[in-house]
Amino acid sequence: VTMNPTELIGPPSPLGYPAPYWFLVTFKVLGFTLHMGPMHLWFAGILVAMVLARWGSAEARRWSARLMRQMPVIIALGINFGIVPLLFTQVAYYRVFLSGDDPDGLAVVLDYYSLDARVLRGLYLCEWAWC
Amino acid sequence: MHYPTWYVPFLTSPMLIAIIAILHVLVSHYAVGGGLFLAVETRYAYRTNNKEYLAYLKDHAWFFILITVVYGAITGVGIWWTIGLASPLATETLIHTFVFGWAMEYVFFVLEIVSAFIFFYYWGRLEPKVHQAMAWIYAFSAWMSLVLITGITAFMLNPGAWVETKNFWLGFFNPQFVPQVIARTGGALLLSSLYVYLHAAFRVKDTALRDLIASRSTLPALVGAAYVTLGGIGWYIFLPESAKAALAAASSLNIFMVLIFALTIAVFVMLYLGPLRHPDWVSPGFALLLFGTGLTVFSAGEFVREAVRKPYIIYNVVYGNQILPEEVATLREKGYIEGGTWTSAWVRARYPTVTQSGQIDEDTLLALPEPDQRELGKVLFQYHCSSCHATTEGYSAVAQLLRGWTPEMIRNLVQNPEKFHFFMPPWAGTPQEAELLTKYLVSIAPPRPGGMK
Repeated sequence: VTMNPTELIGPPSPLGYPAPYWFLVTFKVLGFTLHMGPMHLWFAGILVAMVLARWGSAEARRWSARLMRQMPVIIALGINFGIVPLLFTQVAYYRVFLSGDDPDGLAVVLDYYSLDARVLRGLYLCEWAWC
Repeated sequence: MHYPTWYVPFLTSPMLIAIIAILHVLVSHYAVGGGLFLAVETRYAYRTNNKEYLAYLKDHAWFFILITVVYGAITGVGIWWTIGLASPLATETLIHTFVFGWAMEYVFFVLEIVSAFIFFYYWGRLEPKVHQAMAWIYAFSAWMSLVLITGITAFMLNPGAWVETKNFWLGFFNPQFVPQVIARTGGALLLSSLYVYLHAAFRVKDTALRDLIASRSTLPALVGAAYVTLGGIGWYIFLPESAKAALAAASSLNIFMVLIFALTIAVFVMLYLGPLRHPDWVSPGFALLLFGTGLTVFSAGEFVREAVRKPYIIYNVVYGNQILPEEVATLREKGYIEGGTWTSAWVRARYPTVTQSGQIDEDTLLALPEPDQRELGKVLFQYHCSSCHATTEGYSAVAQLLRGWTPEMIRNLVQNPEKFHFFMPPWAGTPQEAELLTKYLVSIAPPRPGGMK
């Protein structure tokens, strides 16, 4: 079955936009820029910290432990800074956007089902391994 | 209808949301009450110069950060992401109305994280006054985030005058706002004490310190339980008439309400006999029992709070199956398939012969081969009904509910669901589409069980 993608754009909301379009897009871009910092530290930082903790010098291991000790707050900032771009993307592009389209959505779902267990398990593992 | 449907087999998407939401509120209330606990108790420990208690509070703060700041944030976004898939029209309506409510909540989230970070990571390196100030900033920000999200969730149950005015503040300060803020603040105080008992029971070996922790957390727990009761009464008073009727009519909700009352009394009794009168009773086993009982009351309460909204997802604004009440008359005339962005595109592509002069000809749909008619009926079921019903097995599975029904009975139900059950949304399609759905339902409904007299 071949469908015409332009037919899949929903009707405009009777409520209209809650703010000027430029305002929504500006905050979307600003929010996404803020989101990127902690997300890089989270996804790549954990991998780098693990490698350094296993094969690094004494200084590298100290750096790895320091990063991992602060990881809960980095994760929390990453998620919370992600709220802004997701919110403003949903508001600005609601006719073509479903939360399933969000590339971060996959990460959120994976996190949701896996990180819960990791956090609980890591509660005291952190003290044992890195901190 | 204007979005692709997200079909969750067996469980149904609202039940998936309910599970994620319950897991979230059990932690998010602790995030609020626990912040207040840390602020009050850090002040007490500094004032009495109790170094052991201060050391315990630092240990508790680490547990608190891992559970609330990380798990709470992930499950919170998990709810948002899931409601966006399961109820896209309701989510669209909420974010269009409350985008700045959420933006304000985000500011308080950031304040929470920053103050929690400074409070824990700079422990021992700050002046006691500054250290305590960080705890109070956290506690205030966390409570403000509770207030802001409660305005939005309470709106879904009773939007009040917003329906006529579309005014942000009238929607936010809706009739359910104050009762739910009282109940949730109480819940936060109660739940955080249960977390404290649990954590202290497993982590503190010094019995004198454990007794101190147990006795100091009892007053907030009892005050919290009283607030929950008070807020619960207000919640009932300001329920729309249909929600009160649903509460009385659904046997599952009756059972949950009995469970809530019985276990709330049990929590009161355990708090009185345990931490208040005999702090030394707070062993890991007792703490686990109290924690489990409290969590069960909370989970049942949240489930009831959500379930009574039927047939709406936002009362009088959006039906549970993602249709606006004002769209129903048009869809009954024009057709659900034609009116839906995705259904119409799919049918045009799959069955090009049913389109005449750019419109789907409803009569031609009934001239398609029987398997195709059932397939269309299945699509109608997934869009129109699967928000509340699984198909053959699972939560409120429609096939099980229709077991032994005649085709005529099923046809009547499809055409007039709201007349059979006031908590179902009305049929929003043409008679021809009702026939397609009937054929599909007849094909999956099992016969009446055998062996009955």
